[in-house]
Amino acid sequence: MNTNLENFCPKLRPGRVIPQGSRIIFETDNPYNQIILPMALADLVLLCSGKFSVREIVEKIYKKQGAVPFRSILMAIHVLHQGGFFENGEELTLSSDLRSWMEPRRSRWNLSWRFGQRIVADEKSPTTYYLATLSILIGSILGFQLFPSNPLLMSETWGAALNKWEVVWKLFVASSALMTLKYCIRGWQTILLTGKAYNVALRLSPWGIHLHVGNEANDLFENRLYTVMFYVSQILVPWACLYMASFFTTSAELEPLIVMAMAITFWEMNPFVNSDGMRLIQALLLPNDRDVASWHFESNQLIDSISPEQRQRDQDFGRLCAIWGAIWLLMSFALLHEAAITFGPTVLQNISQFSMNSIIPALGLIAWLAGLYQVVQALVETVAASLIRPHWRRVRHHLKQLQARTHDEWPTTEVVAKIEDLPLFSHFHEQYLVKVIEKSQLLKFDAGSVILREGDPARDLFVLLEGELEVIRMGRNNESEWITELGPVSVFGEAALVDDQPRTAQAVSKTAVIALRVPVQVLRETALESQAIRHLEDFRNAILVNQFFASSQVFRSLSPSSIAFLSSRGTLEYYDKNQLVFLQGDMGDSLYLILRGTVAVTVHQTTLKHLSQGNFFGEISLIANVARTATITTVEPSVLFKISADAFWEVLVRHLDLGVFLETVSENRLREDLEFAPLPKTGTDSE
Amino acid sequence: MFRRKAKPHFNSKPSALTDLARKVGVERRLHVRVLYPEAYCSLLPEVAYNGGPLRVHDISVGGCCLLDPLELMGPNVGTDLVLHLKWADGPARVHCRLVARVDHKRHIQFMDLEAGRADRIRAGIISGTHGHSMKVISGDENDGPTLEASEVWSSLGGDTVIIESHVHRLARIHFQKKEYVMYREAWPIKNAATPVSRTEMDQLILFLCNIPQPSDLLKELIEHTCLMSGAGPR
Repeated sequence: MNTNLENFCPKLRPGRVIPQGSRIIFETDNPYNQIILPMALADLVLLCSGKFSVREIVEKIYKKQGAVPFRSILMAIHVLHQGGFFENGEELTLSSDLRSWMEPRRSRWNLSWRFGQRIVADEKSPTTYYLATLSILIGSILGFQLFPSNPLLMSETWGAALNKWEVVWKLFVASSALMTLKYCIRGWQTILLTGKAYNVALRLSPWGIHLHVGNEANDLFENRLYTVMFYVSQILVPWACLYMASFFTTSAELEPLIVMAMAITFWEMNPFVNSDGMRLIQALLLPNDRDVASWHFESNQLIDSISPEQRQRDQDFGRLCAIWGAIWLLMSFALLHEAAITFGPTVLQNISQFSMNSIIPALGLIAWLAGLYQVVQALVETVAASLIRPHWRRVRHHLKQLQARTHDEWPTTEVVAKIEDLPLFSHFHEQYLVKVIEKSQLLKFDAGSVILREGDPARDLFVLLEGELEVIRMGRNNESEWITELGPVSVFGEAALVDDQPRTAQAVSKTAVIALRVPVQVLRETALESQAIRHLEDFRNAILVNQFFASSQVFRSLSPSSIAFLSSRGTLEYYDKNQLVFLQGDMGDSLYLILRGTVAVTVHQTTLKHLSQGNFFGEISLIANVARTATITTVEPSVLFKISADAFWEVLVRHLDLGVFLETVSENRLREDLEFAPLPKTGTDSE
Repeated sequence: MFRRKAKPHFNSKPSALTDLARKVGVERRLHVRVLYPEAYCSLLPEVAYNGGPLRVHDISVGGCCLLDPLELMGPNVGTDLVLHLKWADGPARVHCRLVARVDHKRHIQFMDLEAGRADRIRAGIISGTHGHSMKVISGDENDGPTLEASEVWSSLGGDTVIIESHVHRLARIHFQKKEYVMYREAWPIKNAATPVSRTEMDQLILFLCNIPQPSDLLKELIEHTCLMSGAGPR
């Protein structure tokens, strides 16, 4: 049975949770594996027994802690799932975006006999590690003296002098020896640096029979310099081994080692596999606390609206990988090309003879073809990732526009079908709705047209049927202030129905737009005639609230049932100009949505910013379970929608991505506060 | 393409949100009340009225709650009185007002506490406020992984109390980014090497005493720490 993330009941493999300082280590028994998580997630790990869904776990954590670190929880589930810590990981069905980042590691082409689950040293020795790694790097540089001027020619000359089976045997032995030495050194380095080495095994792989040490201890690296040194030394370590071997062996015995050292180094620089080179880029570019939250969002709107710095960092990382990937691919093509020229005629000639001597050349040809396949596949992936995917959304958008219909193709029945579920029209019976539409006008606007102008008398409201528009208004300093962006099907200009004030904002079409202009008078008359609306005040309030949810970039991604739930649990509050909403330091028990008006955010007596219609505040106290971190005062008469903490959390556990989003918004807001608001001189109990 | 192959590094820090919210600072937290430990605590003043010591139930920068079963301070709310706040380096006379009474508890507001003294109380109560946000982590209600400790308490701020069932060790405390080991029969140590100082011991006591709804094991740890504190370093 496949389930989505919220309904997934994670069941961890049998193991134990070891608390250590502010972290916990979760260790599985067989095979031995471990992961380090923040102590704040201990409850999550302990609740992963298969009994509770992620939604229930989040709810339980909220009830217990009063706050939920959404992003950490999603990241933890991500790494646990990817690391294969869940027994039922295959049950988790992810959206296509999520799937690519969260699928578990695939099994490799190897056979292992694990004989050491965990080797623990009494103490770490970073200084010895530093000196040892430095020696390896110096040895590698010295070992590069052995690098042949023409590697393929050297290989050919060496291979020609020997029997084919002898060549294979010598390469096999050389590869096994080099890999064993590499992993011995790796294990020694991890023990020196972290005091531990995990999953020591004897392995049969395409690299021969060799010792293998798991990467699990690498998660314990804390110093970036040491981490970078580790991976660089691991890429180059075959050359240090060669340099050492050069003192004891003849040049003829050294040749297979040189061939394999080149192959191993080249492979470890491959950015398309989980190689040491790839890990080196990560260690250089991605900090340990990197935020992968944006990868979890299904909604592009949410991705666009959070954490631009982190997205930029991810993009930079992707670009560097693409550049590295392109260089590696060029080298690979050059190598394959050279190999084809150097060995091709001989290999084909041998194969065509169909004798025992053909086996080895045939295997060589297969290896060459496999290499070509890998390189082409990697090339396709690089092109897809760096060229097509970033532009795909734009292409899709244009395709959508091409599909857009003209306004002549909108029969009344279809307009009815489109708008009958809108909160504003849901009160009307179909016959009254038809009446309203017949008295309304279907309009088409080109991109960039001003549909509503600020200050104009408000006599109509509009229903956006197709296209996109943005709502802007002039700020206090005569600067245009972006309020929101609307897509089909949504209502705008509805203030005309609520009060008789002139337009407070202007609507400008971003694309070609088809909109239904509904005269307010017609709507009022029909409302009275239909008798569906008994209390005009309630109706107005419902419109205000529903319009907020329909137009808010953040909240419109919620399901209709969640919006209905929040709408039913909140209360409208009316504030005059300069009225206090709450004080910094008050206990926070509610979230506020700004339906109308503007509020000022003041931290330590410094007014930092204004929040306007369509925005929200008060979320920090609810998510982090702290007192209010700012004082909120209205700048103009405002209408706020107050949602209680319980109702808010009930919706949040159903929409984890909204939780992650609000957590990120809260963090960004607090960072701004810290940057611009001076701390009080009297001192705080800051820790 | 590239990220999929990435081995995940997990953010080992606690939630940045709580951390940031604390850094922004909250006015009310300046006057947060912390429970006064039963053992002697050099970080907070002892309180005396008319020469007689009074037990302090809790204290903040703005005032304190005194236990006055004998009604030494009188029954009337609104009465102004003078209290002596005694620190190790000398007492301070503070004009106070009795603002409320519940049973034998008297809620006192400091009227003219010097800024320096107030700062001292503020510095003292920080450890207590850390304790307020601690929550117990329990693995008993499910069949999930086993927890390798008798009991664990933690907060989103990163403080942790790990109570162990070890022959020698009683608990490991991660408090304000330092690692303390509490022994059953020996003076506690800090960061695996240094013996804990008197001030740090007082901070630990204040921190532990202010953990809400302590379990029996935690009470035992508090009692042990208070006893150990009375014994002094060996």
